[in-house]
Amino acid sequence: VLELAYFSGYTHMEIAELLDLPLGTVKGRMRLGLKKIREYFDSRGMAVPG
Amino acid sequence: MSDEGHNSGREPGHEPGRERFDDLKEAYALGALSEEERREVEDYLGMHPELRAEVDDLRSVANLLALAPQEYEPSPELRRNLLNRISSSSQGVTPAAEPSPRRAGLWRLFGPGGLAAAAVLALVTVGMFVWNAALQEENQTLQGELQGQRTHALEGTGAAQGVRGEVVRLGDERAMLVAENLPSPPEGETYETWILREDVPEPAGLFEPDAAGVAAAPIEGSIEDADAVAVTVEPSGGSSSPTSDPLMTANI
Repeated sequence: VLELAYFSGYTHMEIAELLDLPLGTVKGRMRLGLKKIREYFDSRGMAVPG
Repeated sequence: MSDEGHNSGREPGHEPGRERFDDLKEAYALGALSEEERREVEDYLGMHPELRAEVDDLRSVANLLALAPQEYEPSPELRRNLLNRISSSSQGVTPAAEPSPRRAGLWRLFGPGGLAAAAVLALVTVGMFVWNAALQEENQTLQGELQGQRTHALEGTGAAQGVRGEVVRLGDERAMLVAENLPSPPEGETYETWILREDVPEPAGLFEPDAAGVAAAPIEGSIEDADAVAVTVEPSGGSSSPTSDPLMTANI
């Protein structure tokens, strides 16, 4: 979901259609995915540059 | 707010705009909103500037995807072409009304269901080959784009001689600086990124490498029409113009 959004430039609605998922699930996976990236960086003691 | 059906059942007193913002913010950070939704979020941010930091933070996390190995989804056009090719070739193999003698043998062996399954399997196999070839071609084009225009090698000098790094473009304007084997800056100092246009440096953010000497920092400001991105060592908190010679430079 993150790759489709970030690299391929699909909107969340297009992704929902493409993967045949409810829109809420796509949004939930975006939320979870970003959270996991943050946790991965935090767990390795790397500050997320901002 | 245009999210029909979504706003029902809200507790009285809960601000609908905020709920909508919370619903859309991740997709906004990933650049995955429709034009209309994007404007909606930006309007809301305009009214609530205190939420800007949260969105910037999400966007920084999203930008870390640029560091991940990239696998590309085929474009919608490629998908359409493939489906067209499959449907046109399937018209070519529509079974004749009268089975040929050889086919009659197969017919007896597999029955109508088995033949249909074999035909579908053959089609899918052909489709996979076509798709695979097309994907490989697209992948090569994308890799070429990525390597040819999307990344700019970072050259280190002095203390940063052994640094390996790149400036990765994320669009026409946005970019990230990624580097490894980067020594920690001296006590009380930090790395500062600069965007150079005709030798005039604009401050573009501060960063420090982690314990392993790895850094990934968004370049703050547009790199469109920039000549180079440079990194200097500056006192903690950064400087408004460089106080030392560049340790690393990437020509854009």
